[in-house]
Amino acid sequence: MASISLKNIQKVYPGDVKVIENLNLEIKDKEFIILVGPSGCGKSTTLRMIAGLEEVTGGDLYIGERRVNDVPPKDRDIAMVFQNYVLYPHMTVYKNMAFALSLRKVDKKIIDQKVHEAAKILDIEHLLNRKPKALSGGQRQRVALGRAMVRDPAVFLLDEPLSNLDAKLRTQMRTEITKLHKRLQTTFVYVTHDQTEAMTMGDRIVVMKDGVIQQVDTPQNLYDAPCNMFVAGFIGSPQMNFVDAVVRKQGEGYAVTFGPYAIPLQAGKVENTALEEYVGKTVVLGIRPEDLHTEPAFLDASPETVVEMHVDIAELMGAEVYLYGACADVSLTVRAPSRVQARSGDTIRLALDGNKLHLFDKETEQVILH
Amino acid sequence: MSHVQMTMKERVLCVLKYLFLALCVCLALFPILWVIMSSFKTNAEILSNGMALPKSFSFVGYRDALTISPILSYFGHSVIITVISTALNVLFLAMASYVFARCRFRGRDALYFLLSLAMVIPMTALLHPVYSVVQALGLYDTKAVLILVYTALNLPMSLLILRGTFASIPKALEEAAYVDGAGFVRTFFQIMMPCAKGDLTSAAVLAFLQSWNEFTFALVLTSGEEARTLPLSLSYFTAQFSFNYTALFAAVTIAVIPSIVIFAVFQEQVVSSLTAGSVKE
Repeated sequence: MASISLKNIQKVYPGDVKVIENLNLEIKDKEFIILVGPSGCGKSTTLRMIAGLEEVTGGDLYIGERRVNDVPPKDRDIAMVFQNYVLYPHMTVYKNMAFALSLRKVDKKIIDQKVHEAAKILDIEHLLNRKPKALSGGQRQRVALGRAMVRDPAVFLLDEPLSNLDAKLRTQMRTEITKLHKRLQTTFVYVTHDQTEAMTMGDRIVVMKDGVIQQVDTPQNLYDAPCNMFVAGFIGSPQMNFVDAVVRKQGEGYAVTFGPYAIPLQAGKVENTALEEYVGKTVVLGIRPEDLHTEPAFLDASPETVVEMHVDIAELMGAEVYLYGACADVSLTVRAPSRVQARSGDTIRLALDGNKLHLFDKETEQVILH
Repeated sequence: MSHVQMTMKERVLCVLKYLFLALCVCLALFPILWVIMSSFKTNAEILSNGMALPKSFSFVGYRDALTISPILSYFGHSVIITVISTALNVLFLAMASYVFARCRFRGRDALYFLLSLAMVIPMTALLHPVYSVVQALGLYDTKAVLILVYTALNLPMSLLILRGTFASIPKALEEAAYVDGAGFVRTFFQIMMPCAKGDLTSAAVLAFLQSWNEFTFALVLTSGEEARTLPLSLSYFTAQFSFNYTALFAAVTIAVIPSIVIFAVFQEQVVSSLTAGSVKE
């Protein structure tokens, strides 16, 4: 078990291609941390640098108290689960799982005990004598997890381990990996581009873009208080609605206006922000699809935040319905309970939840308030 | 009506295809079958009617081949030289191919091109320079010289096969081994070599066949009885016993049987290696 510390980490590929620039991150012991971001954001490179599979161009990387920049992977006390399982094709499941321990000259009885223990937890005991080619995708992924488990490593690194599984199996394995973390009490670093995995599994999420960390926080904080438009748009499905709006003074307080609407900002939200400097300027108003309400109770309670939307498409998802449409020439997505009867071509009234509004600077895309 | 005509046409085409293939097989097999068949005839039978079937199966030719010539000791030399040179070839070329496929270093492609170029140089052009080097090193007429020369002669073909093999093995497999605790050498021998087993076998079979059948270098680089190989025993036969065709054919049969057996056992792997990459799988 160990903490991981990345200090001013840089990764530059030949040809001066900067992939990671000045990355700082502290991962606590026993933490389950998720690196998430779009393709090419540097999340896998970061993980591979922690593993020792990529050279660190600049900065310091610590696992526990030890600086490991120049330590080969085998001496870092890490285990890694790869995207494509990467089992040794010529070895049986048992030998795949035992390989790392036999290299460390662990007693055969102990190896046998550990392999069987891990296989039992992962429910693959009956597969121990099979070769990887005789296994399904889900079984292979379990073996890959088992191979990492038997090592009792200080750090578990997982590189998009579920991306090759079908949706049902992915959901199942997601739960199993979370359980595994609780059972093993080891530091987990998990890379994914799937925000559902990120939100459901991690203690904290690191959102990355273009080799730069955008925000590190708990899933709930990340969802409720994104630090910029990228994080706000990346986390949440369907993604947050963004509307260009102008900040106006309204009596003692402020309002944001777009089209014919002026949405007052709640007094409590603006107290600690320098909103004054944005008066008369265009900002970006962000609101999540589930914070646009169609229920009469909401419409009656906050008539000042009510807007009208023309529905273009209604997608019934079972428990809820996604309504896509336009409000004052701005595209909006609404996530409503499925009992809402609105259909394509209808015009509906929506109440914006004043507590859930986010304002972003249009230039810097950084948050002004949430 | 037209459907029936098409079927007839297809049938005729099918029959013609089979006839053509049968002809090809006959052309390929005839010489070897003729040699094997003739090895059981008497010398008089061969001289009177070369194409006829043997009247009775006689093993006189084999007895003559084994008693008159040192074919058994030549056979032994061939086995030693071929097995060792094949093993060395595959071992060293696997290592070289792995480095060519995985490591980046200055001049890598130029070096690979240079080594591949050896494939287009005619063997006879190499005879004199190799002979001079061998003489200078004092290795003339030893098994070691043929082992070294055969190891080198098979270099381009093995390199061609194995470089592609190692390049096609996913890099993540090595990375998994590194993370598991293996170093570079162990990863190569315990992970990469077993993964390349199929192509290693075909490279070995091709190297074996080439070395087993090689004649020119064996003739030029050896002179005594200590290092001469099986193909040379055949030339010895024609020179000394040109009238004893039965013994000659028996010796040829003894010489080609190992090649045929080896190729027959591993032919699928050899063919798939030689055509690898030509069709998207």
